[in-house]
Amino acid sequence: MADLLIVDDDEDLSSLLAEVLEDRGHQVRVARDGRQGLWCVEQQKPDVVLLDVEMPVLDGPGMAYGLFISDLGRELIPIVLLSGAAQLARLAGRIGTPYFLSKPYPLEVLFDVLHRALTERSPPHAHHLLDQAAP
Amino acid sequence: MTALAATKGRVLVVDDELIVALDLQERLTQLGYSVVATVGTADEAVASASALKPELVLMDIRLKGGDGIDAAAAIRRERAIPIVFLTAFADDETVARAKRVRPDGYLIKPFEDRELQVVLELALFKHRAERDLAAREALFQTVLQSLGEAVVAIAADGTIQSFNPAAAALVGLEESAAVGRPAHEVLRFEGPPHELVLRDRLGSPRAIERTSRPLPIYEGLAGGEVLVLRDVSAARLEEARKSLTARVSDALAAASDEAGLIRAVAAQLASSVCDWCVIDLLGAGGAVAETAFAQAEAFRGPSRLGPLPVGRRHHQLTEVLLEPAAGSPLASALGLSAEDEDEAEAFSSRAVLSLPVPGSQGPLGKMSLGLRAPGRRLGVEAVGHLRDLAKRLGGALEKAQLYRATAAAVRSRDDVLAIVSHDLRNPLATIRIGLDALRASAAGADPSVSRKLTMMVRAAARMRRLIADLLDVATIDSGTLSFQSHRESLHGILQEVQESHAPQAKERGLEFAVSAPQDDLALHCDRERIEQALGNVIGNALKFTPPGGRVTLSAQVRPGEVELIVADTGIGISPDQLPRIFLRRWQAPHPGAPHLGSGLGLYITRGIVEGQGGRIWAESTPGKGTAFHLVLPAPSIDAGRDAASHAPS
Repeated sequence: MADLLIVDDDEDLSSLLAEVLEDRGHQVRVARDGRQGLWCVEQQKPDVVLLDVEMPVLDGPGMAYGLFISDLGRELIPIVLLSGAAQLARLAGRIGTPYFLSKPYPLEVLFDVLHRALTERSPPHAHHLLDQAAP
Repeated sequence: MTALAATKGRVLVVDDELIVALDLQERLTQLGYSVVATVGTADEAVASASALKPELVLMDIRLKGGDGIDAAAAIRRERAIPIVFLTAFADDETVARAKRVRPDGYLIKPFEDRELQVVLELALFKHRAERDLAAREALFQTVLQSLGEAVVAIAADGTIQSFNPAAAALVGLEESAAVGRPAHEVLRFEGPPHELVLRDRLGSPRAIERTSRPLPIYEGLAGGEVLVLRDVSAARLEEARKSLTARVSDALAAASDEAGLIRAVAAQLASSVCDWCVIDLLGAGGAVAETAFAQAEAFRGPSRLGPLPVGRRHHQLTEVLLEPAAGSPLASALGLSAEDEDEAEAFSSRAVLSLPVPGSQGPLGKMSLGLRAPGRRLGVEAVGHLRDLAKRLGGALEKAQLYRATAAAVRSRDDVLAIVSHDLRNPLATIRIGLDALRASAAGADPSVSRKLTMMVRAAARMRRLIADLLDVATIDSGTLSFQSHRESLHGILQEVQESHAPQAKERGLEFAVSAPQDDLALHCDRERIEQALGNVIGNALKFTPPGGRVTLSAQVRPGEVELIVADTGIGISPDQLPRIFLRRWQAPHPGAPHLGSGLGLYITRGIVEGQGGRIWAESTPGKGTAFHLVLPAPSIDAGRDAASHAPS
């Protein structure tokens, strides 16, 4: 149905999530950090990125910023922010995505959010991140 | 006695011619004098003068069996009384001899009464004046001798004229050795007037206050000056001590850790009271864990003098004063072993004072001060002062330790929170997703499996809530609870709350009614947080109201604010519990009530309401029910319309 990219450093969580989503007919790839995630996007543009916040090497906001500045259409990929971080709503606001879920979440809610992201396809608008990155 | 007291003076007449003597006696009596005796020989004259104590002796120079001049000299040796000579022979040789006795008068026979009167009165007056002068001189000398201040009179030529005992003590020089010497040789002043120092005979400095008055120039006597010197060493020492205490206190306040504290105190001590200072701080094992070293700037010690190594052990932590300080006692005082005596040699000094740094549970370390330069000394009072400073240092060290322990506790709490917030959520998310997936695939299968899965899902949900509560409490406690406030509709919030709690009410067999005001109202708030706060209160109401009861949520709009009231017909809260319900970890002490919550719900609710600028309270009647009141500010954007439609009726 859709090409999904999970970017999360928790192996169990991401492989379980991949299995569940594959069972629903999606094509799923998994990356362990933001840099791997950017590499996967370069290989093939996914329909939606399921993105964790805190990760080694390159964190979630860092990857969102990478997608945004590449300016090759990748900035238009909807991002679903999945995290246990406190103040998740604020983080999502900074990335500019309307799709975010606080861990742990009921599976049905995830399906619901994912469905919205796939149908509405609202791109993140990471202007705030850009403002912060500027000197 | 009255007759004697009324006389002009008591006179002893010495004349060997009986007729002359009787004539004199009569003339004297007529002039108002009383004659104590009339004698005719030199020996009698001396004996009477001694026994009868006349005020004046009228003495004939030529006496039978003796000489009046010799008799006068003998009387004078015994008593200082005026003597007037009488003679008929005024030859030069006799006059010269008589002058040597320094008579107070001289009468040539024959003489008139008038002459006699004038000579006697002058002699008595002069004698009395001299006596008064002597008494004054004695008084003056006594005052001078007993003055605490050193008084030195200096003649116009610069030599010392008088030098009282206080001056002698101050300079360390006897009066006899000082008088007549040039003042600048005896009194060696140094320094500016406000810090004047006088070196005594041995070179020791004394802090001095000096006042100077010129001596009057009087009838040709050249002036000079009188110096009054006050030893203010003690006062200046006290002042220096107070200033050192103040500087140490400042240094203690400025230092942030134990190493900084001992460095600061060592530096202050070495810059004021000693030539070098070592402060050791003991570690947990009793060995020196931190050490500080400082030496006086003015003092050029051997180049080997420097910080001692850590890891030394102090075998004695009592107070030691070593004078002189060298060899193994010094090594021991510095916590060096016998083999390290070479190391200690660099520190050998005229005196070393070693003091424990006291703590409430025993010594925290040791403070050693060395004196090398001559002229510096540690008095008994100085030791007391240093003991006080060591105590201050000990107090500051304990405070720093306490601060460090507290900071570590806070850090460890923050670490725990970070783990809870992030690291615990990932595995919980895995469990939740796994359970949901299993439940979906097990639908329609064995009902006992599906029931167990549902219980596990509920447990995971409760864990999630507990984690969220813990995080909220942590952010409320640290004052970092933040809000995403937007313009929100009151109707919208009430509707959402109704929808989310209706299933639970139905499940519990309760009536749940929400009554919204007729007109909607705009609130500026964090909708999610306000719904969370309302949800906590409604959740409690639903939990503690028996089936068949009623829970209501209503709103009262007033200018500038809205009051949300959650009322139930539940078990109520006892009056003694009511003031405590908004505290952390409060649990309803209801027998049989399930302890499902973390006891943090109402604490978080209050944190949210107050964080949004509102207030919250509860009213309750045990057995009848409870009402929670949440008042939120509603600075209406369209104030005019609101004021019109909600004016108090």
